[in-house]
Amino acid sequence: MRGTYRLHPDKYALGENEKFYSDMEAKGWRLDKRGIYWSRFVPTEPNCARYRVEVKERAPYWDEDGTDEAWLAVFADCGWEYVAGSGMLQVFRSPQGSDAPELYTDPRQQAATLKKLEKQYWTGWCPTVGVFCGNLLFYASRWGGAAVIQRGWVERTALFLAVAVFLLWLLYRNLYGGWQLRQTCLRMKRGEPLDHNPQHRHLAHKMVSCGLLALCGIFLLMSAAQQVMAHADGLPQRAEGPYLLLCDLGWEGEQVPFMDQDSSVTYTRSLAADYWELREYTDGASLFQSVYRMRSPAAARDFARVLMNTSTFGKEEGSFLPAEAAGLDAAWTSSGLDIVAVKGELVAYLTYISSSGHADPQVILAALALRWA
Amino acid sequence: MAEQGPMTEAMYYILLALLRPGHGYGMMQRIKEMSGGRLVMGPGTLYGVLSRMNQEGLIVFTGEEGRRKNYAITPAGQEALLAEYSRLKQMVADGSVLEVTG
Repeated sequence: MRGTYRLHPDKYALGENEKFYSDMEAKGWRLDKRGIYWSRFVPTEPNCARYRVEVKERAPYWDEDGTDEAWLAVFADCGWEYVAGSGMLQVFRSPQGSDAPELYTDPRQQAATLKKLEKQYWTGWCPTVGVFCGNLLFYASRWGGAAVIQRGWVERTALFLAVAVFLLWLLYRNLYGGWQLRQTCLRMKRGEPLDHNPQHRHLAHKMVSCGLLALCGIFLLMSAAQQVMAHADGLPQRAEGPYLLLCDLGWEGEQVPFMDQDSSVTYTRSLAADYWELREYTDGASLFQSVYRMRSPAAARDFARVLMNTSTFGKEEGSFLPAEAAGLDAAWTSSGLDIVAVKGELVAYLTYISSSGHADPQVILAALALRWA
Repeated sequence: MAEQGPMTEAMYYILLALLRPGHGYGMMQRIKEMSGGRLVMGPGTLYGVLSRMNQEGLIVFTGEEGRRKNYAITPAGQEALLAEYSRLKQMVADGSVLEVTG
């Protein structure tokens, strides 16, 4: 049977849901199934049927005490046919011409049924935000504290923004729903019945909600594009970006794979920086680099601190010491292995390992100053 | 059993209707008759009150009739109903002054 799908109003909008299904049947589409966000409709003769929603969780299918059966029987006896439901919202239908009584003759009693749904709105965002924050804290505690998050922000800005906007949308949607339900409850407690034919369309809310979702989608697309466009290439004969090759340091050894990895350079562009990740292995020396072109010199200087805090060998406070750096704005070295240097919008983090002893950091810094001149 | 305060109209009529055990739909019909058509109870109201009173021990599930569940009032329910009836009677008696003052 040919059907159609439509986005239904959010759960908090009880009257809007009822009107939505009644309007759809008046247009010749009868509700068949309700999902979390979508409802499925099947063609029917246009009818003026009444739809009502009941806030109640269905008993699980393995529940054999017949609670749901008895509940549905009471509704059916009164002229309300169960149509579909999802989560805490169950939809009943009364055909055209039926004199089925309203589900609730006392609005105060209906208000009591909304408590659980309201609680779901007030607290429903907590697990997602909790899992996200927990993961963030786990990574931060394991790999360099807040600096690892700052580094992630620079390297995956769009992804961070997508997640942040999604969490904001989740929070906004839940708090708005909770607040709307609270208002509905208060009206019912004052004795006002639920409006089954509301004209209020929550347009401002829908615009904000859709806007946030669209923004989240845009950032996700940008993040995906960043991922797709990042390409790892073999090393060129001469550096084609603001990075160094071992030959720039006077090392002429042959390139060899290291732990099944070939030498490579990866160029990526995030919203906060263009950056190059380079690893070069030769017979006797290895050079690892992360070079960033930030959007401003101030950002580059700030990011130098982040790179020091996430470095391989110099994470501890005070490991990095300022170094002489002719031609550079500033430079720091740690144990002769890790080097961080800044000039203008460029900032680099290098690790040089050689079997013939560590290279003089001054040689590396001079080569870098020459490359960035 | 929860301590009983003043009953809601729905509770009072359901307990009254259950003086003769029966199922939900039968109760609704009886309540409509008893109240002279003034009180038409919706299925949501009825089922909500039945569940709550069952939990509070005022009524008890006695068996099934097809998909329908049958209920009966318990001694605690009868006691609560009588207490509510006395309270309402007292309230009417107290208000009899209104008949004199017009």
